[in-house]
Amino acid sequence: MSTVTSNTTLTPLTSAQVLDLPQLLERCLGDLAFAERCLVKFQQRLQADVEQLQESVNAGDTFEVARIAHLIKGSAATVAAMPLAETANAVEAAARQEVSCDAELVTATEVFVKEVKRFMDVVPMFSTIG
Amino acid sequence: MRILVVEDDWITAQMLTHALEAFGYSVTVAEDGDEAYQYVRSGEFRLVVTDWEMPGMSGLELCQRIRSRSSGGYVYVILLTSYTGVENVVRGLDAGADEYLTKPFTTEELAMRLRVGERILSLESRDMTIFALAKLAESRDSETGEHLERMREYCRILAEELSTHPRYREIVDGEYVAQMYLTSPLHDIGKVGIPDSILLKPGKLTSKEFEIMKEHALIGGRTLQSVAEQHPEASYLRMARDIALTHHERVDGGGYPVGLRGESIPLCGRIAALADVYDALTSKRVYKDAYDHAIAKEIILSERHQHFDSDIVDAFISREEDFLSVSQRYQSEVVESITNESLLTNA
Ligand SMILES: [Fe+2]
Ligand SMILES: [Fe+2]
Repeated sequence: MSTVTSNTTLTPLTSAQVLDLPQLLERCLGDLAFAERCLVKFQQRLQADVEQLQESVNAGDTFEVARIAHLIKGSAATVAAMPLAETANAVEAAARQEVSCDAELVTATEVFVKEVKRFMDVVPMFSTIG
Repeated sequence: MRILVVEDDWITAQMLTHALEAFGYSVTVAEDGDEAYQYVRSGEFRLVVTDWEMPGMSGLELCQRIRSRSSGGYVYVILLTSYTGVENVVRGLDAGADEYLTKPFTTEELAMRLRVGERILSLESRDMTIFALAKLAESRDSETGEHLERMREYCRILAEELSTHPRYREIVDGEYVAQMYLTSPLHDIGKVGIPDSILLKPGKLTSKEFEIMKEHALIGGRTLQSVAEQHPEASYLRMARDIALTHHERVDGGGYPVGLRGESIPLCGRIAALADVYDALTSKRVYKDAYDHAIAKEIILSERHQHFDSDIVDAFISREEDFLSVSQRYQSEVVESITNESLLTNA
């Protein structure tokens, strides 16, 4: 049942903006070149982190899943990729549940990975602006 | 100014550094609490921005460790956290954090928190500078021991007591008490202008020498007056001036340098007068032994309406236990350091 709830709260996010550009630029004091460097670096790490996360989900290592998801959540929020941060948060929450619910974790991870893909598609577009 | 950023997330550390450098700070990044604590121990950082959740020592533990250190100046700690809610705020404050910054941060909020931190640190260095200056002036006069330390405690006690009195409630508030504590050590700063031959003379002063000695009140008052004129916004400088100028006035008009009477002597000067005399009576000097509290009390009571303002004498009587414990505390510290020294020489 809880799977359904978390799904419904996550659905609207996929249509939200991948990146809150004004927020990111505020944090970079308007320095577009710096913002771009951070995004590129973040993207590189994200690729590796997501692979590790998926492996840990498959292996059922919820402790490791929570740790990685937490890290991604933090840096995603910093680069103002809010939907990414929120979907990572859902993965972390699912992994931290006392009574583990595999279905929920798997669903949250799927939603998260979809968001990662959306993010990866958008960032190069942003880079060309800068 | 140097600032220490403690953050395990690379991107957040980079962005904080970028913003802080733009604000003019020189930034050092530590990736975890243990590394950060080593930096803090170097004594080179007085501003710390730290993440809460980190592998190893958390930001909260880092705060606690910084606070449990007794050495060095105050370190201002801003806790970066995605935790919200009263309970977490209380946890952070309990650990000794000064401020919060919610994650993800905005540069506007960051700049605001840092302004507050710098202001607090500058007040602390101001307070230390004032006391260091007073100690420096006093250092020529070697026999007074911890006079300034006790003097400011006595002034604080008297001011605190007066703040509960209906007649003074309007004037003596927390700020007044704090300023009294801050500025009373400057009362004898004018002694820097008194020649060694008089200031350090072991015996009794001749009346001509005593006239010169009395000038310390005017010299101190004038010096602080010129500083106060340059900084009209700093009300503590006016209090410092009043104390230096009037701490030897007597309410019966028999004091110096002016011979002011009663309430024409500023309240802070009347408070400092009693504190100064009590300490002179209860301390050992070359020409006299230390009187015990009972005798000092008797002398002060006999000077009510003559040397001292009766309200301040009353305040002294209500808080005599506190006076006694201040005088004993500093005495026992002296004894302790003497004992330690003799242990060292024996070894
Ligand atoms: Fe004096
Ligand atoms: Fe004095």
